[in-house]
Amino acid sequence: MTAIDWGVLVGTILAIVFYGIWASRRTNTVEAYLRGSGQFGWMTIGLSVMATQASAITFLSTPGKAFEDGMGFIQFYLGLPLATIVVSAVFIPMFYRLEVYTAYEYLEKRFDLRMRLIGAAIFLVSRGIATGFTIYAPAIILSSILGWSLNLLIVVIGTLVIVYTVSGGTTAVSYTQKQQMIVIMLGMILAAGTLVWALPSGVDVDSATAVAGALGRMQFINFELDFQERYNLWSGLIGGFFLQLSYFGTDQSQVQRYIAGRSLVAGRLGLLFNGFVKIPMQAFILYVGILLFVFHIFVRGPVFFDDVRWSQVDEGRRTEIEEAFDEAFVVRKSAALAYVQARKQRQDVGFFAERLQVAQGEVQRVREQAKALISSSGVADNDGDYIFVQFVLSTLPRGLVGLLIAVILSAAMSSTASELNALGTTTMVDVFKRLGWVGGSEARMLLVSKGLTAFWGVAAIAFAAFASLFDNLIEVVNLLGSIFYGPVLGIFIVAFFLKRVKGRSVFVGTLIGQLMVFVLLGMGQLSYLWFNVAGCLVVVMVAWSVERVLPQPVMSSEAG
Amino acid sequence: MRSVNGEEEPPPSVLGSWVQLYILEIVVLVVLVALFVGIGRYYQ
Repeated sequence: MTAIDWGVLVGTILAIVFYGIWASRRTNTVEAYLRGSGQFGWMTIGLSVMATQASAITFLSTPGKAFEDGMGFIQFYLGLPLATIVVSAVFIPMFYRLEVYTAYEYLEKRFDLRMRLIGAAIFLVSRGIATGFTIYAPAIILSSILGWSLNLLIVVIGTLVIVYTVSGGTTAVSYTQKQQMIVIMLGMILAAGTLVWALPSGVDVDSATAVAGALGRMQFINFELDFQERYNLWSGLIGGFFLQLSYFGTDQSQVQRYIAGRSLVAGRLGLLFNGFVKIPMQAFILYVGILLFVFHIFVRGPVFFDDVRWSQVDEGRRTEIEEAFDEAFVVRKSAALAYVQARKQRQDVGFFAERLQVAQGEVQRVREQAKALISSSGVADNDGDYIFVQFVLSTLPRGLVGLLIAVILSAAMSSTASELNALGTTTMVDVFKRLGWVGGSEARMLLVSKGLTAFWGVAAIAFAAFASLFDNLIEVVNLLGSIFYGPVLGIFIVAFFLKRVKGRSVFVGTLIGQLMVFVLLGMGQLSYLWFNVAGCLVVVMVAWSVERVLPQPVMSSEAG
Repeated sequence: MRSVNGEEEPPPSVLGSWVQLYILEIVVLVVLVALFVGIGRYYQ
């Protein structure tokens, strides 16, 4: 990185941090700290919701997914607009009407304290671990690519987030996320522009897309109903709907964003705005990956995108693979140019497409050999997360490199800030305050709220540092989310729609629903998106059945 | 839909009613899926 890049990187990040502290300087009540005093308009909420969901790994992994598998990952988001409609129509009005600080507070008003504590505990455990990963995932990639110390990077990212999140609470989080989203989108648009500009003469965007299409990377939608297939139209629409409904409706890191609106209308519009723009935004990020794939057809990229791991394998074998890759690259490049030429001259492209596919098969075969070699040395062979950042460092002009690293750090910081904010709030409101562990003056309560947010920040840094001991942490975290989201959503669905069902029945339903998800997990026959559907439905059905079967208590202390 | 103080609270008039907004969101989703299918077929 040059001095200009450092200037852009440090300037951007510090400007956002100081802006967050400045914008929230008048936060001096617990209400303002935890709920932002209800001051945000729909645009701030919309961008805040979007920035919370888009973590650094979104911008590192998504282009890599398109590079390897094409546009099909877009199906993961198809249930999102439908989920935002339900949350906007049912969940948000209820949260505003009851003026809750957390989603779990509602569970006590509707059921009992036990259900509130279960909801809060599930959130604190799963989100507490995931926050460490939100910091760790970009740190491990940037440290490997840039040669920076992993632990130093984790501490720097974590400390910057802690500084403004602890200082300004929800206000600081929402205002900085607006700036972070602007930086992120600007950076991604400039990266896409550079990729288009860097394509060889004679290869325009249409030709590049056609090359990707000929190699099967422009298939967005798979209509086949296959429960083991991770992404198809049905898992995206149905499984994705349940996952996103649970995420937006019951995860405090999102609930806290839209209950901070200046009105119910602002909260609902902010979330619906996300439903309108999320799919086009993800399609754009995936398309950056497609352009990257085509770019590397014409400009030789690394055979394996993580230099550090690649440099650690046997040198002789590595040289053999590099030579084979050189040959395969030249053949594929010439096949791609012939395909583009034939298409422009409106010839029958069938033959050229077939030749290109054979050439791609050979490149793929060599890359598989490289991965097998990496694997044989006992380390993970996935380099998808490194593809985009490799391009940033090797191809982007001076200044833009700094901006794109700022994009990745901004994304990491925006999600982490929401998570710390929500973890601190849930611990304060649902545990400390509810159980009477804290009391006294407003100033004391504010201090405890800040202390709890700082505690979760330090815990996230500690977990991120400890996380390097696990090889496949990303799987652990993805699995953790999918295991708990379904049953939690089931609890809220019962609360909203089955008015006669009481706390004891939904408690039994939650236990059985959670058990069912563990059984499905053990069987290993179902793609993880379907866990959300199964967990939710079992909780709803069991709670409803138990309520009908069990005798009604003469005296009930349960609320609602 | 009722607001905190119990009054009807529609979105800004330029956006129509909540139901119209929801229908628009579903229409946009259907158009996007159709567009994705179309692009996929054109570039296969």
